[in-house]
Amino acid sequence: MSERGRQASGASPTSAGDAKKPSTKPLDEAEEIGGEFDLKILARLLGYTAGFRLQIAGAVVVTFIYTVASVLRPYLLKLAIDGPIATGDLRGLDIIAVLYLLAGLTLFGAIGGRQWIISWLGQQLLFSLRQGLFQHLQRLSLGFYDRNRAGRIITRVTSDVRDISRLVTDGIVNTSSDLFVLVGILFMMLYMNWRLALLTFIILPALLAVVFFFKGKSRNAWRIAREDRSVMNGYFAESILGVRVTQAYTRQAENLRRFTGLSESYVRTTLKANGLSAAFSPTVSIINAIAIVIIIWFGGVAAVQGTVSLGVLVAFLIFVQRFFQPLQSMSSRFNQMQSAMAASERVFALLDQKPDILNVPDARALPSVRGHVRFEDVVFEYVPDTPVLHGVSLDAQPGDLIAIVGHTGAGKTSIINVLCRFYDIRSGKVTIDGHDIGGVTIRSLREQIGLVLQEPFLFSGTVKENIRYGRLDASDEEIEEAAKAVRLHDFIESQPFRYETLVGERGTHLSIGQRQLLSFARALLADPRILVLDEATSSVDTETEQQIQEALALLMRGRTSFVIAHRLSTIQNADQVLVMDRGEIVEQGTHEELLRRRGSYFQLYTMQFADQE
Amino acid sequence: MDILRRLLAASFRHRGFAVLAYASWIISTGLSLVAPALFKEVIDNGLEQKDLRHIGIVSSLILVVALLAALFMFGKAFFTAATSQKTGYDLRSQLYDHLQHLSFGFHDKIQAGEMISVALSDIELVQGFGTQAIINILDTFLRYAIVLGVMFWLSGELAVWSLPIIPILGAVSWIYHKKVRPEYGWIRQQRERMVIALEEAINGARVVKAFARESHEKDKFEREGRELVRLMMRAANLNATFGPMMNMLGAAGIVIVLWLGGRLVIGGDLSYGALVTFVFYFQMLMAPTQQLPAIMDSIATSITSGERLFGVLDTRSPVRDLTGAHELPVVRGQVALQDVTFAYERGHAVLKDVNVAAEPGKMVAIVGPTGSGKSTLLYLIARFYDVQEGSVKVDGHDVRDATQHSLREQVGVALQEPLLFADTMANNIAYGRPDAGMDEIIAAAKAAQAHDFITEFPDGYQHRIGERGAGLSGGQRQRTALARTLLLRRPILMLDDATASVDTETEYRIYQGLQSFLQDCTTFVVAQRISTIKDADLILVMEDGRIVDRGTHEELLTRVGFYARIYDIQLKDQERMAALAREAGLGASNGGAAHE
Repeated sequence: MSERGRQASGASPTSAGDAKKPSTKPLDEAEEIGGEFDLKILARLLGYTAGFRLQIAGAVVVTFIYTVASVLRPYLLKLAIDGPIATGDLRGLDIIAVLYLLAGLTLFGAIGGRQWIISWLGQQLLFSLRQGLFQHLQRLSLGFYDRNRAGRIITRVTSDVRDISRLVTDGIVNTSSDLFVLVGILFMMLYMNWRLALLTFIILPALLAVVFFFKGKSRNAWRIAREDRSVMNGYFAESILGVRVTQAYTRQAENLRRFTGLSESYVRTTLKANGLSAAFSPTVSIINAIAIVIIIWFGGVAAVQGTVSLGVLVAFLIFVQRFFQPLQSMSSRFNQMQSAMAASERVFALLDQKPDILNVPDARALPSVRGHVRFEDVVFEYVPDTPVLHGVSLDAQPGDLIAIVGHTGAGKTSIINVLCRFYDIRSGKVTIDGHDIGGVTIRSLREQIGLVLQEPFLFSGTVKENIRYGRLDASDEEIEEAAKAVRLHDFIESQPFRYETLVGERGTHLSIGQRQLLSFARALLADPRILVLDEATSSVDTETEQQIQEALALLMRGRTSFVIAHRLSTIQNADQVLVMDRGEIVEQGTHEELLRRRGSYFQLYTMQFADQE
Repeated sequence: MDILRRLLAASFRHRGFAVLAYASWIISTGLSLVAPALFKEVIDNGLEQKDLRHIGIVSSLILVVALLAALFMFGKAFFTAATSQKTGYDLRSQLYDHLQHLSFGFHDKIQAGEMISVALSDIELVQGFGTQAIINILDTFLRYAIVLGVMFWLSGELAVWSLPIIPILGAVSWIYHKKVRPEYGWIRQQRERMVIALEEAINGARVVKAFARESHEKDKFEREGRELVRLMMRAANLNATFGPMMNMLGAAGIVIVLWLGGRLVIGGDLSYGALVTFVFYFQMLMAPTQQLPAIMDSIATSITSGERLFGVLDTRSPVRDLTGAHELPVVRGQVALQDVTFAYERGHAVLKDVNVAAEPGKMVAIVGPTGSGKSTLLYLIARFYDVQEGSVKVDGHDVRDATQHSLREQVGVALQEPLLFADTMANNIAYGRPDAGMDEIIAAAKAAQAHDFITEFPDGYQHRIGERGAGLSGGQRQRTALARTLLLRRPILMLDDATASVDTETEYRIYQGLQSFLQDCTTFVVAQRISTIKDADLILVMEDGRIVDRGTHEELLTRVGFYARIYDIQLKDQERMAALAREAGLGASNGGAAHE
């Protein structure tokens, strides 16, 4: 069985054989898998700390000083009690007081220094990992974004990366420091009185067992509670967002019943987890009490016999209480490290995804084009062996308006994806002014193509910044001119902050029509030779519609335009109408020609109105 | 003060648990403070007197005390959690139900997403107020009182000289707290900004790629990331300074005790046991002193959260049932608006002197530019808002005199925004009638032209969709929402631009199939496309909050105005094509066949 299992995992997409080919598998969907301690992953992680060796060494040194100073303090107390106080040596007492103060000062420096270095290391690591991942994401092609949900990708860059940096700072730096302290305490106890020390160590296994047992249990219980909580909160959020629907459909009572059900289950699981947590420290304190009794009873007897001093007893009592802290933090870190391992695995899998679209080795920049676009027998597929374009050919002269029509799934969007080289084709050729688009740099190609999406995307920022996205070095005057040209200027001016009005997630809400106009302005500013436009289907009111029509006409003037058309007027003005069906261009010509032909186009556009009479 | 009283009242609804929590707390703190005093007993009367029996007795006493303390510690933690969880449960249900019943006017004014996260986290912050927060504060003072008492009893001189460290420690920890708290606020904000930059680069990937702006995005993200690192390090510096400083102050206190106490022991004014016990007690004061500012802060946070929470709970719904409101009997569906004037905000009337009369079973269509008041008119019929002037009557009953529930039970609305829920397709369609049979669900889906795409899912009607209908296209969402409305089968049906995202062809088929569903309903339809409303019994043309024209399609076409203008824009070409089609012999008879 295990042999088979190993073979199966060897065939996973991360293995060397497949690494060359871009993976088309979506990112791992499972979040809560605990990671195995994989040395390869650990080694790769350590690679990221290569630049920080000195700082890590510094952290270790400071930690060592910290350990010594903190272990010495109870020992000094012992020295004072057994030495000067017992013998009445006032000068000796002064010396020990000064030493104690010095230990305190050293500790002051060591704790501060250690905290600072750990934070610094963690932040630097976090930053470089995050930045590296983001940069990699920017290189990945659109296919990747089509395959993976945005939320998933965002989690990789935010919480997974944070988990990993914790693995290094908390896991490696703090674990070593905890070990130091633990060893220091054990050493001091053995040094002061090995018999009593060994007797006291009887509780260690019990302490370890409790710590690890409880942590595992309670972590699990809290995870369940957290899941219940997120389900409950999700339902709450959905209900409020949909409150208008709820009221319109008079579902309040049913919804409340469901919500209280979720809320009850959350309370139940939380209380279970709470119970475990609540039992934890009392249990530890009982173990502690047993240790204290051992020290007092056996130590007391020994003290009466004169083999143990009072100072040793006091120091033991203090030390035994400090056992517990490093053990506990190590146990909680053990779980953290497991989830960090899983996070690293996910992040590395993402970093190993190769971009589907790359510049060919000898790619040149595409010179300024006139806009003569040709498709020659283009075959294209998203998934191997299921082509969505079967040998498409077309020829668009500079300045032509090409309208693409057809049912959903006919391949209209695929033409755009191929033209912008968001995806590579399987066979055939796409040229602009005779240059194969596969042979030029991606950047030079896309800078000469303006794309306007059906649902315009706005970045959070000002109106001005959003228009400027089309050309980053555009002056304010140019931006205003573009806005005027698409007749958005008056609206912008009517806003309290004009071009500085904030839009996007947190800003002013723009209507769909206004967003379209803004994306037109953006494209106009970019001034591309080729325009690719996916006309919006959602209806806007007639006034806005007219405004959009005019802006559109202006935008297309003098450019080769490819439009996935939904408006009759666009189609009527087109130099060529491409009628697509199941990945093929089934008809081609002007609107008038196609109507006269009485073929698929004619059927597509007359059917419903004929029916209506 | 009122907030405090209400927060306490919320916790003390679970009196039994709360009392157990308080009792366990006092006993466990008391017991935990006894232990060091027993050390003194061992040292002075056991070790010094070489009395082994005494050592044995005190050791067992220490164990018993520890066991009891542990038991009550558990009780305290558990009952505190139980009280606060149950309080949280009460508050959540209360809030949920309240929000569900607040009318549109309230929800229009809030940012839903923000409101939700604030409200839920507010509850988690206040649920522990009556037990956790109060016990934490009282515990600090109880410890102070007992420990100070014991210290003075052990040695007044030692206490007087060592205790000044405590207020200094308190002051330092207070300053630290004041400084670090705003830092965490900045960090949170900066982190949000960074995540937004990330989200946009991913959600807008198509735009980023189309404009070849990858490096621009990278720079933007790097700027935000660097700023975050800067802020984090600022907070780290504070931690690295103040944390050790407090530790240092503790050490200074011990030095004083040791140095002075040592002298007292040497001089014979203090016993060994008393000195050792004093050290243990002194250390017991450190933690509560350092934590006090955080505890005080948590009280302040609870109060702020409580104010916000009760602020919402106290909000009265803009639309309320009148006292003595009656149940609306089953209606025939006659709707009348008389001289209705309505404004969302005072002084900005959205509807002005609107009069509409709709007879049972008729279809009324409303057209007009955005913002002319079409949707508002529908909202008033369902009484999502109350009119300012005039009245809305259903079968002669003023809607304000009926209960909201009985009114809405008879009105079906398909809202403009087709909001669906994370559930199966079947449950989404049955949202308004959870008891509907599968055959009814399918019939409604067929009429809304949703059946075909639903059956294409591998698990058909049991297919689960994501939040807000994620996974469906805009048109599919609208068709599902329409099916949901059709299933209601209520006497009054309102479709608010319910097919805007559906393509023209499907929309046409929808309205064909709808006839059978609409026969017995009074239907109100808001639409942008004239093709869908041509056959309405009455078309209202709205402009700027007024009904500027009304009549049938044919009547309206004869008049110059808005209707004729949009007809020109929208339909003339299409009718010309229809004429062409007729010419070609593609009439209704063989049209379907030709399409296949």
